Amino acid sequence: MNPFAYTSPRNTTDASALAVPNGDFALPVLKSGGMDLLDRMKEGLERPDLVVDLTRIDDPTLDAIDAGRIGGRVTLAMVAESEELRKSAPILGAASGSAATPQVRNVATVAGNLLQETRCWYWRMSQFDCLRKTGDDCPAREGDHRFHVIFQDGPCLMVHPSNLAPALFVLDGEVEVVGGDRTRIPIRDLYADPAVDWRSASVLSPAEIITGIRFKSAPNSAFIALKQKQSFDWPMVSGYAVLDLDGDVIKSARTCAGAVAPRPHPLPQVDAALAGLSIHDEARIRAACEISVDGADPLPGTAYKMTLLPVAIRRAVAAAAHSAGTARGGDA
Amino acid sequence: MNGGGPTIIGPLPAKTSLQVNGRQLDFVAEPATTLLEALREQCDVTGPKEVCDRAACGGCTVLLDERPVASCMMLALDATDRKITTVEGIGSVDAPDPLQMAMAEFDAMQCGFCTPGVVTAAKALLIQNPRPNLDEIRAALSGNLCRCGTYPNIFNAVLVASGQEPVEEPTDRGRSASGERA
Amino acid sequence: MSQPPRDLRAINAGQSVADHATRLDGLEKATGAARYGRDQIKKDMLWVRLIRCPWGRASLDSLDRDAALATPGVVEVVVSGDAGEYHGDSIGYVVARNRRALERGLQALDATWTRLDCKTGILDDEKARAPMGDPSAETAKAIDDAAFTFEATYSTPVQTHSSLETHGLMIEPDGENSIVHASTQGTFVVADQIGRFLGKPRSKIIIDCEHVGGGFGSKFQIGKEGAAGGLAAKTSGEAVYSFCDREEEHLDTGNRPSLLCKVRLGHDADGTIRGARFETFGGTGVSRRGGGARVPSGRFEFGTLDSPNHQDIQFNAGGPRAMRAPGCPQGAFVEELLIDEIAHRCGLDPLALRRRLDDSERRQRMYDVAADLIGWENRADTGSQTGTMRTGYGIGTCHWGKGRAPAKIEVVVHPDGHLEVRTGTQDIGTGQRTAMAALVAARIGVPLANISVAIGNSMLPAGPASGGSVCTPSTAPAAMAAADLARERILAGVAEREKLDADRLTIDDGVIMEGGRKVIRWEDACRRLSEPVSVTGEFDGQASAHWGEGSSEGVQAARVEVDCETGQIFVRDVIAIQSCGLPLVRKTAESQIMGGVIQGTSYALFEEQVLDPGTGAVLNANFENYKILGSEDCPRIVPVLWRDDQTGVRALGEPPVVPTAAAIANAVFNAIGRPVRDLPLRPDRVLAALAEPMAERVVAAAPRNADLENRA
Repeated sequence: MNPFAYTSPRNTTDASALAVPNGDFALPVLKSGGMDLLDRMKEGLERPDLVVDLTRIDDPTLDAIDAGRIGGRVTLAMVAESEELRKSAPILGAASGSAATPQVRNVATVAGNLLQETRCWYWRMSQFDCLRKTGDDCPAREGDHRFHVIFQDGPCLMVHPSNLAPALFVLDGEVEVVGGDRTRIPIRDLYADPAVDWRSASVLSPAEIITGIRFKSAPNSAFIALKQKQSFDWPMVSGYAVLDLDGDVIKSARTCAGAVAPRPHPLPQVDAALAGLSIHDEARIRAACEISVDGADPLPGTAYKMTLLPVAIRRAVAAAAHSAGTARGGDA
Repeated sequence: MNGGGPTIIGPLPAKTSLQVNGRQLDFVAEPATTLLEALREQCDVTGPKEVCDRAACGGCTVLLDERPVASCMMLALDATDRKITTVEGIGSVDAPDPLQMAMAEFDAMQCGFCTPGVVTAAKALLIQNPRPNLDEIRAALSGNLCRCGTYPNIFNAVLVASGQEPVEEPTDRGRSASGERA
Repeated sequence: MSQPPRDLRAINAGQSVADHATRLDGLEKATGAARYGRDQIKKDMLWVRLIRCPWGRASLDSLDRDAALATPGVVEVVVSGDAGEYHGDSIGYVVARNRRALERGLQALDATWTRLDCKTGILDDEKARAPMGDPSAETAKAIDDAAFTFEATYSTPVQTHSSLETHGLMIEPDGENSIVHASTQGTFVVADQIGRFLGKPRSKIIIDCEHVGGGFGSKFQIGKEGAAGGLAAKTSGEAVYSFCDREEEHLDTGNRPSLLCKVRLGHDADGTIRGARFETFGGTGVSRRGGGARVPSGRFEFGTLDSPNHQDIQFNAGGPRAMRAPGCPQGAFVEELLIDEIAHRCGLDPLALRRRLDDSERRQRMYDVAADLIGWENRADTGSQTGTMRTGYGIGTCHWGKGRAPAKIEVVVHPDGHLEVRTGTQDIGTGQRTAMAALVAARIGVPLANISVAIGNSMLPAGPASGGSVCTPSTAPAAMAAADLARERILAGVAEREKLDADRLTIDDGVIMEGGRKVIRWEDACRRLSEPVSVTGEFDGQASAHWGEGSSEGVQAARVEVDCETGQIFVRDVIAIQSCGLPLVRKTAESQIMGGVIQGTSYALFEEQVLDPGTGAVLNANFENYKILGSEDCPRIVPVLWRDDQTGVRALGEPPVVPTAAAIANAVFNAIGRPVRDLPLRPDRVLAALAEPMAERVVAAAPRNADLENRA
């Protein structure tokens, strides 16, 4: 790690001010749990001269959980353990509880999870230049891209790393921000269009801080991660589903795919096909989930994800129908 | 930042204090120092191990206010106002914790390099959940890699340390008093 | 043991020298008190790190040595090369006052490289891509004479040892001497190798490795990191700390080499193999050798076998080092899956075919027990299942010898009755110190609590490195000899004082007896000593009375579940039956077997080094993407210590890792009806296999489990 100074502001106003490059510090950076930031700093991908610590900001709303809102500084572990959320939106606890390891989840925050950088192994290695850094080429395209996209929504082949962001997609979530001229950003607008901007982790300005996430209640919601390894591993593919049920009939559905595209990948065609189906109509639900790969353009090394995605979505739908937010996916 | 803004520490080395195992440890380090580095290199607390240095193996696990965290991926400055417990604070050779005794009794280690992290993560589980079942134990230890391959013995040690029966297994291990007659 | 006990708890009980003893350093390890080489940290020591090539092959264009030296805290920059032949290859090293200065010095060096074309795997070599060569006339005839011909290609990946304590050493000056705290499998190897770099005679070097965080075959040499540490210590005269980080550990401290194996054979309808040709290609990175695989192993009858056709294939990656049963897990994977494929083609139960092709009487009995414990009777015919989750059963086997090397063990009897076992050899987690203590305690007849062990130091009596299945078998006879000498000395004194015949004295639980009569307690007898008595037992490296006979056999059976929608494999149970000779400490012996199974399971499902095909950079030199089995992937394991009245002490570190991946691959084949011929058995490979037609049958299936039923 390069030398840097460290400061712990007590309010977000100070934090935002400190995060803007100025005469004293040209490369300030905000840090909450710091999990991804330290990873990038150790790799030499990021060399801040000032780390602005958010963990000592005196604002209880950053740490609060209620049925429709989670503070930005709440850890993934607290989300996973929340009884309140288990009732209102079980998908959030399931997605949070499946991320990384217990040690990481005790530190990593909701805001940090949404803003973490890709795990693309080319991007993570400092010796590779790539489209997402300063280069003109993507080394993954001709390289080993087994963990990369099937939806080529932009020239960069990374998949979005967040477990939580796709859950917010299906919950019509938005993020609360301070430090800029806006206070709410719909989750669908938090990430830049990868066809236009493939370098930014989000649309936030340096001074903007996510102070919370808001979402609608969805008792019938579920998350499935298909992992090679059941202990700490990143999903090969993940599936997210929210169902609005009328008895056994799906009034409407919202589904989204993770680990297949540079951003969380909503599946409106699946949602439309699921609407009106009985949750017991396995054949038609299966058919509806099969079209989750419509529009996919897999790489040679990601063809297997074409098989996994409909399965992940179908299992998420089934789990949501039975209100089982937590589903490991693999170990059915 | 001048005047009324918050205090800025560093980038040069600065006096830092940590509360480790009930003791205050003072040292001078630059902000670019992880908690693990501070413990091992400044405070001579070498129970937590540097293994992957990326929060992927659990070798450096310490308790932060009773929760297990990866000390390799946390700045020491982030932990100055927290209560830190390392494996040394859980028990010692002369006064071991029941969990540590069960680890030894069930041979839940070989090379032992993962063991401090495993003990610390398992202790955190038992603080939160005094009678965990096997699935809960597996989940709580899913961030701790053991390369020698002692997981089944670890599971049994945690079960017995929490007053439960070990998983049925092929031997009568753990049922004898120690001080074996050779 | 023809009728296995149904009470699993009874299997291993009562056979070992110490049935209930626990690892002597268990509490030290569980409390963090155990201090490893990597823990030898001083505030005023120097830190060393190698300057490494970031690409598969590259030439150095420039580096800014002055800038590095100008970095605060940087002490020395040594550049000795200008090209790298693999990612992690080194061209020099940097020495600095602390780790941050070291990092920043390396960064300030700003080495720029020109990437050169490189090879990244066995298949980059045209020799490996060429069609199979013609067998000899004799083998060709045998294959042609058989009813059916079978051809297949198998592959296994590069597996890294991934010891949790990385390679390296800490050197501290101590007057004229240098104390070297090393993470090593060979105390005396380090002692012999480090002097050249330290510039010191062997007599001025003390190696300390009281605790070692794993090795698995990769820590038999001091390596470049050790050499650089030695040189830096020599130059500076200061304490020096030179350890790899995790990335370097994956790049440049050895590995189990990859394998490509092509097979052509002829078999008859009853599964008899008439002739076979195996071509093997070992991926040795930049090393010229070390890629050998043991296939065929000799365990099964292959008819007329072509002479071995092995080639080591070089490419731009770090070279192999011995890894736990070198060449064997990869060979077993090929051979055992091949046997199961032949069995399936002929409509045979693979266990039945093994019984026919395997002439080991001991393994024949192990097959019965393994089948019983895994529940082989529940096995469905290969490919017969439908549905999402399918269960599979598979078998794998091994055989093993043991190595011998000279060893000395000193036993000191103190006047308080306490015994000190002194041995310079190391305990890398095998339980060596506990085994020696238990053996000496049992041999003399005193409680284990009376014994302490000094181990892992070059000032102690010399012993072998932990490898080649040498250490425990060779130190055990020395320990027994030392124990006998100590016992004789004490009993002779008692006999003389009490006017008794020493030959009639026995020691039972610390009490010296004559016939049924108590003579004196061990402690009281020792109290008569005016000073500690030291005796040394020696094993000369040749067969002796304590050596024992025969070989080790092993059979493992696995039960897996395969999710056929996702390709995920869940290994549920592994039965691991292993010849153990005379087990010394039951718990550590069982641990060795379990550890082998777990590493084998991890090898089967997850582990592979991934090289970028374009640049040769290793893409997963970390524990995020170099995947190792964790707590939620661990099967239930039943380790069975198979005594069979073998007398000698046998090695248990290596053989149990051999059959596991093979057994799992066979279980997957059984579940899904298609072989997955490439390790690791990744979900994408399982899905690809499932998209293929069911494995071919050339003979109609026999009634299910006919063979088992016939035997019952």
